Amino acid sequence: MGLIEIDCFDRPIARRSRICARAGLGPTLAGRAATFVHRGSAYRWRSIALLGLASLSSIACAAKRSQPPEQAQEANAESPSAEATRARKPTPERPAVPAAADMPFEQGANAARPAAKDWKKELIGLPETVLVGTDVTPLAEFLSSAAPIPKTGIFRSEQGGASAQVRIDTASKGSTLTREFAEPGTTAQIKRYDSLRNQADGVRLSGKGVEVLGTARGILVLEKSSGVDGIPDSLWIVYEPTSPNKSAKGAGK
Amino acid sequence: MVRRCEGFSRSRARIRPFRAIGCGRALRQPDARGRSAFQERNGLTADGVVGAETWKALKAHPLAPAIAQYRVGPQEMLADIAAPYVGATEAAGNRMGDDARMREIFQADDLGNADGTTDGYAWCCAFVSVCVQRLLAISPVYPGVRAPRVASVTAFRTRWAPEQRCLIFAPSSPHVPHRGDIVVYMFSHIGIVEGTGSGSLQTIEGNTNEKGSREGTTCRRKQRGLAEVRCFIRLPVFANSC
Repeated sequence: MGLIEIDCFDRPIARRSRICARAGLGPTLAGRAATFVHRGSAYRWRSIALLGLASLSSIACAAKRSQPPEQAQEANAESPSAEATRARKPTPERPAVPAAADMPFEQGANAARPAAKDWKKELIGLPETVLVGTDVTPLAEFLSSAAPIPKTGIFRSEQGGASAQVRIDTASKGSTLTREFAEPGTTAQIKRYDSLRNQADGVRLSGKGVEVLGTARGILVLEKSSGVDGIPDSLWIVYEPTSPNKSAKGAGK
Repeated sequence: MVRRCEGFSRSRARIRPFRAIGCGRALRQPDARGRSAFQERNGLTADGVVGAETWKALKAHPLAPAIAQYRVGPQEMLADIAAPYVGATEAAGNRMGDDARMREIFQADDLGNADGTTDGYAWCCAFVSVCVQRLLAISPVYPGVRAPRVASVTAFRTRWAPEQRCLIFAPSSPHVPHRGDIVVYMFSHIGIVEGTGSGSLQTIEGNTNEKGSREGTTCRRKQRGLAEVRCFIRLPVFANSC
């Protein structure tokens, strides 16, 4: 911006004003600064000071342009040219965007889309390993195949000594996740998580004490306080999709 | 008062190593049942006192030379018992199929279905149970230990092992895991240690899988890191024969 102003000082004043106006700089101020530059060395120090002012003014203009339309209009209220522009093209008022947590699944997904690139950064601080069957593998292997979590579904997992099942329902109002875990000869331990929030384009569900990630293979569930020995808070667990009629093997046998 | 407390904790610290090998109670209050049972089996007077005749019988036991060859302890035999099961594979859906070894595993616990079948559940703990049962049946050094018939990893760790006065220790403890220990993982899984390296273990596990597949189907050797381990369980060799 500053470079444009300096470049235009050796041109006629009318052209200078046009260029300055295009650059978002007040034509009067820019013209005056240029005049001081041309008058001689006595005024050089003042011209330098005014050039600084001109630069500040251009920065302020740029900042105004980057503001939301409503705020920018308020800020430009004193400027007649801005008023004239507003009269020609009235800016439509944008509707207020509700938080993702208050929205149904689809709207939440759409609203979260701009931030979807950064959702992986939000996993910092959470465990970085995943239990797949009886093996522990890095979470990074799954993040590359992240996929939206189905709105409803039953998912199953088997460790060496237990089977577990997760039921997800995000289609109805108030998303829920119900986990059922059973070792052979013991009663199933059931825990339900309510009010899950949809995040990151539907790839992540988050709630109090639980995190869910969608992948091409199934879902990863992290329970921060499962109350079950076989479900540690240091591992994500892979649950793969299953048919609704298939129950957990060995549960409560 | 303070001095007394310190002395008390010092004496507890002295007792701890004995407890660790299962001797604590036996030293102070000898339980002769196991020794009596051994004497009875070998046609000796079942008085629970390990005299010259009992020592002679112990040394003459067919497994005595085999036990003596183990470097770290007679628990090592557990790994030898587990080794022939490597390769035993379930039929689909945790069913025993035609494999005799799978039948043996699924009959090692007290679970049974209403239709008379005894399979259809996650069986890694049943595999460890069958190995321990076989060890206790052939080895003379575990006379007071009741054989496990447990299919639940949690029940094995929190009920059976403490009841038998097994040494249960975490990877971070001063105890060093060795061949023949039982390893319990952070998740619901259990196996038998076959070898140890720096920060890693070689194990034999039931109902496990190739790396990356979801569901366990077979008995395999696995390489494990200590970070995955919740605790080790060591059978109390001297629990009733100190």
